[in-house]
Amino acid sequence: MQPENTSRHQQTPGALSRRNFFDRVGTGLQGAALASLLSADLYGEETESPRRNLPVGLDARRPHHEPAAKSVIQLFMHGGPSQMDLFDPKPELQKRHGESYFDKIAGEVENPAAAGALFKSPYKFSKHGASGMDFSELQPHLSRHADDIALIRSMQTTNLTHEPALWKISCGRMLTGLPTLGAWITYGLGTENRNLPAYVVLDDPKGLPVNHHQNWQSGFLSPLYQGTRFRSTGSPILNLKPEFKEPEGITRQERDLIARLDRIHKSRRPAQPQLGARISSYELAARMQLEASDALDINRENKKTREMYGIGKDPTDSYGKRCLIARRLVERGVRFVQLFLEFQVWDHHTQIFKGLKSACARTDQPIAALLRDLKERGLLDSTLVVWGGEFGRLPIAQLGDNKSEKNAGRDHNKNAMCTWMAGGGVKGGAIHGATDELGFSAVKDRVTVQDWHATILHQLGLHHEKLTYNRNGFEEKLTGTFEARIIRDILA
Amino acid sequence: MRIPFSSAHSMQGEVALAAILAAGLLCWFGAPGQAQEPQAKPAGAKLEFKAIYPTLDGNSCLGCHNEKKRKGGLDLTTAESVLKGGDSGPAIIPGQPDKSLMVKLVSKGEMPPGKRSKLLPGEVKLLRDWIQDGARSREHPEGAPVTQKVTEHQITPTLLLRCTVCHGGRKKEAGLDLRTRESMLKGGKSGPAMVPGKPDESLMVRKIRAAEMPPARKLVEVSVKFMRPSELQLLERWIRAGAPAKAKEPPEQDPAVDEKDRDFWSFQPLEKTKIPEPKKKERIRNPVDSFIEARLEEAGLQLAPDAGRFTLLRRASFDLLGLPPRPEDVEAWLADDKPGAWERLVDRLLESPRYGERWGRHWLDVAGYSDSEGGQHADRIRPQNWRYRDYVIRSFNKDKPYDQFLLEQLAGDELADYRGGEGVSDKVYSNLIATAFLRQAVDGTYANITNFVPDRLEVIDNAIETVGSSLLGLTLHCARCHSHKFDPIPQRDYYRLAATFKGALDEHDWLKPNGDAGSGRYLSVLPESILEKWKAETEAVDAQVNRLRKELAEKRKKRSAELGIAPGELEKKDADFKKAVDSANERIKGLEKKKPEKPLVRALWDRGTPSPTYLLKRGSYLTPGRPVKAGVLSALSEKGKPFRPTPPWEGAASTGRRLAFARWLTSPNHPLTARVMVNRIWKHHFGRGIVNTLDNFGKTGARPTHPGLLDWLASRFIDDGWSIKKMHRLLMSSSAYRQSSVVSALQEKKDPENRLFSRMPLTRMEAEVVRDSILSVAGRLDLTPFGTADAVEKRDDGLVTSKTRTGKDSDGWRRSIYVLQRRTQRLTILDNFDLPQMNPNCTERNESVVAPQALHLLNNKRIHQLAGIFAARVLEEAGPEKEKQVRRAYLLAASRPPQKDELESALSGLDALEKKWLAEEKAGEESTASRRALENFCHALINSASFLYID
Repeated sequence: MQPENTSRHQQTPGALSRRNFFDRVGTGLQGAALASLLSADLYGEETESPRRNLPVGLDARRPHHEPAAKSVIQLFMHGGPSQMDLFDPKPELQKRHGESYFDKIAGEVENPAAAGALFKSPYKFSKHGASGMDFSELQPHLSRHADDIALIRSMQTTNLTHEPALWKISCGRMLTGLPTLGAWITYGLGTENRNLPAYVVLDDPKGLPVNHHQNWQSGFLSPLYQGTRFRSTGSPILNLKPEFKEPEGITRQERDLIARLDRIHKSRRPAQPQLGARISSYELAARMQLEASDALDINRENKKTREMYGIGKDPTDSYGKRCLIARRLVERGVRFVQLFLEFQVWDHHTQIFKGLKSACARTDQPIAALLRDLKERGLLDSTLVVWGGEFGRLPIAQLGDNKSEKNAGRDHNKNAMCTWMAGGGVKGGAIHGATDELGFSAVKDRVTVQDWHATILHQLGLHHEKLTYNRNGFEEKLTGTFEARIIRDILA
Repeated sequence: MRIPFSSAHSMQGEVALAAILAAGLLCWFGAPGQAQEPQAKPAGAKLEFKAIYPTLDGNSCLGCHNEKKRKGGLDLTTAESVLKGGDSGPAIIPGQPDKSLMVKLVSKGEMPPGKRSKLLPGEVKLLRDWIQDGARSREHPEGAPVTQKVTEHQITPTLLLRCTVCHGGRKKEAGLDLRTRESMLKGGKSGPAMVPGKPDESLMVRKIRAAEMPPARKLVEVSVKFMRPSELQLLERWIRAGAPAKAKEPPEQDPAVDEKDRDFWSFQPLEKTKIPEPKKKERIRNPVDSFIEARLEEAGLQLAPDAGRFTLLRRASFDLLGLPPRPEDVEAWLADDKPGAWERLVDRLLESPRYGERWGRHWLDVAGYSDSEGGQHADRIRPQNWRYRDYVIRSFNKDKPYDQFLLEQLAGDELADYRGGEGVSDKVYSNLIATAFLRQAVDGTYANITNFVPDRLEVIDNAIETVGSSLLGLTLHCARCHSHKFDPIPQRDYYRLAATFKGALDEHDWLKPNGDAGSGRYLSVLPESILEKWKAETEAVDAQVNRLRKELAEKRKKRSAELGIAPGELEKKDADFKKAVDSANERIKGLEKKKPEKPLVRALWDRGTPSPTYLLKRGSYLTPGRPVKAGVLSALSEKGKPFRPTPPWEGAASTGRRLAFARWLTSPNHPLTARVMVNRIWKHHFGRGIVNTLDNFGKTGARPTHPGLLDWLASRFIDDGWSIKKMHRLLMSSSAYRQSSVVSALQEKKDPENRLFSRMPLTRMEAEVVRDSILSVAGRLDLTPFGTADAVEKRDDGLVTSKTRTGKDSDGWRRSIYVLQRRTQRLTILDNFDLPQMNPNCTERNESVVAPQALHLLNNKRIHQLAGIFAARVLEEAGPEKEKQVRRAYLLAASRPPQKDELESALSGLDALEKKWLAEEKAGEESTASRRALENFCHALINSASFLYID
């Protein structure tokens, strides 16, 4: 008889039995509660093995190497923030304003019919921090943190349309249905707080981003690793609180009854671990109700803190709340927090002057406050904060029907975008890479999306080649089959 | 061994010899993994190919990459063939070791593959030096030429990519067709496009150089990008060389696959297995049991005893219908104590129309069914895709033979002439509907910006992957970028399949997913009956609308006369009349909404003129390789039966390629088709496959736990005329299927994973089963089958729920399979219970146990509402007595009476709840409190494991 498993690697007897054990529980159930059935020493080097899927569960797992960061806050600036109006001043563009340039880059323009001439930035830039990092006047608060952030000016992506570019930056490939960065990280590391989801999404009450839930899906990984949306008003998780009126005592009584009936059911069915996992999942549901509500209660913060985030005043209130909640979540051990803005606030095809100003006004102060707050609480060292969108924008104008420059915007650009990271072992003040004289394309020290992913994983103690999931005979990775390199220049 | 040079010719003497010696010494003395610097070669001396040959030979590179085998299309036996490279492009680039693929692969240890020993550092260095020196050989002592001859085959893909969308088969702008050498010479309105030998005088070159073509402002409109400089250079070189015509295509050989590759178990023909004879015979009801029992005996186990009657009924019901047995089903089952009762039960269930809905859902997973395109944020609806869903359900209900089922889905358009002749038969119609199987992938190509060639290739790849994982049990898509690393699927095979599908799925002649007949993917080929029904329904609505309008006009006339107000002024001056107008308009609007959409067939069809297919090196459309013809997998091609598709009928505008593929796939000799399907049926009954990786019967997949049984079942399946229902009967009549699911200590010890099927598994209801069963228990399941999908609603907080067919909750909700399956609006309850994302399809579902499931069943309003309806039903059917209520509730939810301890817990729970309600509602009456308590109990039951798990 052929052995059923034909893994390419010879297993030691011990590993084999362990693997079998995981196979068994892996196919039968995937339980939050299951993890408690497994003793801690069964984990450990599990993440080391590149050939084997990690057991399904959320217990904290040992990473591949000593991590610099424990959690991530991703400030997702979907829509495509304009790099030459925010972080990458281009004097040459100022000089050549109005010059025709479209023909040289025609294949790289989403809306060729609306393409205008070279278009200078209307904003003043100044240098900040010890390294003299450039910030436009739109970011007065963030610029005070120049020494905390590492700026990447040479990032590129592979598609100039929102959907595929979002999939690329979220999942590593231009396809839907794959696990996102946050899902991979929770798969690799589990969580420190079992009463909260490991991966939390804070979306804008005004609306979801393009691609909706695909931005936090778990794809072929267990749904345990998908992002859980926390709303900043009302019940934070879908169905977290009863959607009907019922006295608390009654609810408790009913739950006791469920528990009693389930225990009877289980007692007649020995050796069925999923039944125990199920009972635990009901207990976890109850604990989540308490802890999630507590994490979201920003009234427990003092007035000074809330004001620092711009809470209570327009236009910072909404994003300020999400930034503050993000801090409260990483404080409680949540692994990955992802913040979104409504639809695509940074997608300035027209009226870039007005639009960019408003987007910055909403986010600049809250983000700066988040960095400061994390730092003051000693959390910045263990929290990696990443900022960026799915692509950048073009140095030429995009014109509306009236061809007026006043209402002009910029079209998408996959060849250059700016992103930054802070905390979590990142070298503050670092400036990595450069674009050409007009800001159309990265030319020096180019950073691919997979480089960016590999670097984030690296800071968390994970190696992008080792964090794998075997699916359908194929070893899946966040970085896919692409070569990825860690951006050492920006690491402390 | 074949040596490419004779010793007499080894003139370069010492240098080469020294290198060989260096390599040899390393082999002798270099411990594995120890880096040793090779001896420095004499300054000025240049390496030749023969210096590296021993390295290639000694490391078994030539075992696979020789002239005969050419794995990955690569032959490493001569300098020339190394330069030529394989399916991933050139193996080396002279002078650039860092960019040479061969160096990359051996340095990373990816080659030689697997456990074979890797090249020593010194050997890699030698290889690098040879490339650095210019990849010299006896034939080219001055270094290998970097350039090679350009053939028409090298420029055709570029022209297809950049030009022919406007200057090709469908459109000939300016009268120009750039698909062939002849048509280029013929040219268009401005004269010949090309002058052989003179690129500078060739109009097409000049236009491209001047960036006039393709026209910059129109690029996105036609989803084309500029020609790359390297592509233009290639075109210029070809023209300069006199634009040589295509050489006769060399006969296609399959050196990459040899007889040994066919040795793998799943590529072998079905084995006529002998039914084993286990020692114990008491539990043997049919041959399935003999196979299972024999294995169990080897392990010191035996088939577990039959499960109880309630358990068996519930198991069979969920397996075949996906719904709990109703109280009357339980009664009938208990009443039938005559022999053959079980068989009668199975027959009855198989005849239920609910069966097709249950098993059709399994198939929709495999096909990747979705009612929306995805790919873009808008996530457009796919109108009329539900016809495919209905086709699948009907096919299962009719027990359509599986081979026929596949023929229709893969090549329904080539089975019968749907264009000619009068009237459209139901058969032709259903054949066309079936082809939507290949049209389920995520498809954003309806928007120009996501309709470029690579986007289309993604859609095609998804269709090929679906065919591979669901029908063949093979990971075909691995071969899109390189020859399969583990299975004998050379990269060329992938492109042969792409060519096979190209008559309908052609990235250079693309039909956008538009919703209108003629322009998109819809045909107006429907039987009269459907068209007439639609016409009648439309006319009925029109008549009602007209009547309303007429009534309104009369009223206006009358009122105008009464009040002496001009008819046009009435709304402004007479509030009553305005109200009447508004209400009539509202009703008209409502009626118009009821108008059925115009019936069309969402299908896939061969258009008769596929573009040529080229292998894409490393899967990239920018690096086309050699031309490839339509074909099937080399390792599975039948000897003596070459793949020769012909048009399916005389005068057909169809290549017949897919039909030939479908016939190959459904041949009784195909080693995979029947095995994969019986394994899938087995899995849905027994919880795990005989091959545990349902979608992977290749080398990285699992081996069958019972190979004999698998082959016996597969043969039986074919002999039974590919009847799926007969397979159910066979499997379900076994003792193996009737085993109890209670795990004994011995089983846990000896068969912990249930690989031997020593018991039946305990399973949780799947997503749709949870929702459908709750509705059924509450008596709110609307069993209306087929037709347009029921709408969904998305709440502000993201919760997605379904609407009833009529809009009234009292009419109930339809089964989940009839709810709109939109990628961005999946029903939250289904999502929570592991409804798969179609990516592109789902070959096996997850079964998770997570807190959001508990939260949904505990806190969701709809569930709470249904629990209330369930309670009202119990009250009505059982009366006021508590014990009767509990018994009735258990019968409805768990299809069995409660056990004694369950009954006690339930009664004491009910009492406690009632007391609490009485205390809460001070002025409340006792009957209210007891009703409320019953609602809580029913809610608890829906949340309990007794309901959600199946023994």
